[in-house]
Amino acid sequence: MKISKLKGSNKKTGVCNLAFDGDLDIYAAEETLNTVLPFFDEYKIFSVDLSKVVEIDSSGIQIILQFHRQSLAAGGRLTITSWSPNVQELATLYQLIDRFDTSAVA
Amino acid sequence: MSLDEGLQGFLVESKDLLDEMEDLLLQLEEKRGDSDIVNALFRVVHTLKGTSGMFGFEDVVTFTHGAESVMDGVRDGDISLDDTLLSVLLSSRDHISTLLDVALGITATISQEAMQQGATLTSSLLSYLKGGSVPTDLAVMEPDPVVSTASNRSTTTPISDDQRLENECWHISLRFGMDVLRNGMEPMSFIRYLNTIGQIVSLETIDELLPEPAKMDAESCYLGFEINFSSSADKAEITSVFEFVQDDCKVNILPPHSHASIYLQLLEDLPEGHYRIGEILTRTGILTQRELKNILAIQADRQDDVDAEEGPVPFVGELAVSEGLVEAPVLDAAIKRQEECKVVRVSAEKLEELITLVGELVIAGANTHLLARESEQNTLIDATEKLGGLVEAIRDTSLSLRMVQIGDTFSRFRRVVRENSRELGKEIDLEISGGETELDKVVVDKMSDPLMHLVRNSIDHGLETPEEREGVGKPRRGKIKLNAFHDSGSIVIEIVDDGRGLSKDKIVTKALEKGLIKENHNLSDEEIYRLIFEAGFSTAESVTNLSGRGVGMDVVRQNIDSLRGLIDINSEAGSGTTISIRLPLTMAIIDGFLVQVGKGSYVVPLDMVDECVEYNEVAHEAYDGSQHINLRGEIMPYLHLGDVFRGQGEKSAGVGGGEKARENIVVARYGNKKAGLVVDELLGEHQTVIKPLGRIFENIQGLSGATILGNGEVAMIIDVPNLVEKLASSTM
Repeated sequence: MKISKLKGSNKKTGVCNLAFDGDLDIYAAEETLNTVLPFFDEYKIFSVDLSKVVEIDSSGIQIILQFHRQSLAAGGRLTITSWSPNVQELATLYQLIDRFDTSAVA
Repeated sequence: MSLDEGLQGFLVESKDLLDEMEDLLLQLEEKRGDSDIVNALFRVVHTLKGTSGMFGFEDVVTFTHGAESVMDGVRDGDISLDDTLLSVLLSSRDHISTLLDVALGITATISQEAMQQGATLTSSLLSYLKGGSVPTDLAVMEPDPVVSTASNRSTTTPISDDQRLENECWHISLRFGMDVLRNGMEPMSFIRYLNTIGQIVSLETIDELLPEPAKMDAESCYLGFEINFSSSADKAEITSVFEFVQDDCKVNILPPHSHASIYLQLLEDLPEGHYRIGEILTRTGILTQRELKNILAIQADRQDDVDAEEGPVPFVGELAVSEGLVEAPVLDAAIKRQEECKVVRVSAEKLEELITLVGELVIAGANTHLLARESEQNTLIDATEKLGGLVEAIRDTSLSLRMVQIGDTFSRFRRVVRENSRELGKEIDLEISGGETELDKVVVDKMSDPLMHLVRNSIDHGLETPEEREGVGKPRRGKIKLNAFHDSGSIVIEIVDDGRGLSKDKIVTKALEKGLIKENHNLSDEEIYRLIFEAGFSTAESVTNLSGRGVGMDVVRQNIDSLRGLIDINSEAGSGTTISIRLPLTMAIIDGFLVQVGKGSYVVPLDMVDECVEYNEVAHEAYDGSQHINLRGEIMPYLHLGDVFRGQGEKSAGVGGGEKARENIVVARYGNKKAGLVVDELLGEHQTVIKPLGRIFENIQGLSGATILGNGEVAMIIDVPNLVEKLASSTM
């Protein structure tokens, strides 16, 4: 799993734009969580691009939910800018589409 | 999950997983430290365990767990992967396969021997674990304290009819245990499965149990679900869906129109706090606002000693906020989407039927097109042309359904090579290329055994021992190469070794001994090599376990013959042997090139047509009487198709009396050989459905089948390989 911080991220404004690339599943969960952990302290307004996520399972969705919870708790928000079919499928199954801000998804 | 339905899928899946496991283990042997492969292997073992667990195959789970723990240790670098461990893991894989066979009822009971082996394997796996500092999560799936507290509270509040709830759906409340993911189960598969026995009307994912990120264990499961589920299934059936996570998961299934008190009990049992659940239940339409209030009222009555946090006061306030919430949201059409799977398994029979029908469609389409052209109505012709294009697309798509990559078949040989080379004390590398080449499933299946024979033969007879190799200045490690590629309408499979090569003298001596050839034979090298495919031929001086029993090679040839394939052998003493097998790509429908000779129509497979030239143009360059043409400096034999096939009494194609019509040469190619076929007229491309010739015509040389044209006439399909071969060899 590769997580890259995109342009526009700014600690002052709390804006953090991320792009995930790879598998967001149980096999990558620990590594992913460790990578994103510091972000929760530094940012609160997250835009996440999930279009390059190949595999996703419940452990992966937990991490996305964690983004959602942490951003709300800090008074920010989570926007999903784009997602791959697998992510969309799981989000649909878990009926999370309305919970996340997905208005940016084409 | 109903076993019968699930089992079939499991059977196939577990077989795939076992194959993959073997493949990965063998790859690991070559690339010892490759962490990608180690990870992939761990994943496979983990999944195997998980799915077996879902079906309650305890024996499999217990055994596989050992292997998984060892792999975990390898992954973390605590256990080093040596030859012995690889062998143990390979044998473990076999043992898992045996256990699965027993579990699935393929074999009735497990043999004493296998039990013994399982025990030995388990103890050797354990010895690895003891050596390293691998956490043995073997023993217990620690029940999660939060979610598995069984409720002993009994609700005895009398219930009036008024409290029977309106909800017509089942309500399913799930709280997965922390270890669910680690044990290889995936909540989404259960929820997906629910969709197959009913409809999920609404679902709410509960994430309240997610701890602070820093305290979160990424591999633990914190999810829960409240599901409003409409189904005609009974409680036993719905319960059985969760049969395999029951110990690990808190499941509450409430039937439609349950009493309010039951919901209340649910509220009390769930760990997230009453308000949140009450809100969810109303939001998902499981309870109406009135019902919730009712329930909460009952609760307020009963609750005397509530702590402030969950007291009735905040409830009421919060409730007012959620007053505007709507009732049951309609089923999102999107839910249906996940029912579409990525892979569909279809029975071969149905596919066969489809392809037969497509064949008929092609013929009917050609007929329509022909009639349209005769009618000279342009719009009709246009329409049939469009139709024709579609039919062609359907034909290609349906044929491609049967195509599979040959890579899987190739990979299977890794193990064969590994084990057989050990047995014989040889060091052999297997190189695989072209694994992505696709060919007909039927062909792949039929080729599996012949390939096995050929590879074994190379290992046994072809390659020398390391000492012998060093003696002649070759690297110690021998090499076998499996390669596949497409070539003019055929697929070519090559088995190449860099061994000692075929010994012509030995083959000849042996053939004389067996009476296969005469003393004063006059055979070319290739013909001599081909003798090894004769029945009862074996040159191995000592009969080994592997080959050399003299059965096999002739069976190889028969199998390949039955697929209309050809074998080609090239060998150089001291530097190796190459065996190429050339097979037709498809067996059913081909693109043909329609030509006319006299009154008959013939089809040449389009893939084998190189070009067409005017006969007269090249004829004057022909060598007199030798039946060769010189095509831009290339000399190739040719023949008049008319001479071969023309019916008796039919004269050369002098259409309309005296003047001879212009003839054409179709240059056909097969492999690296070319030949010209002289025909009277070129009619163009034609989609050809191959129909086998009846038994009477079975032995006619030069024809490989027949097809039906649009006008109902029959056209013969030219057996180009046969003709080219014959022409090339007779004139060489």
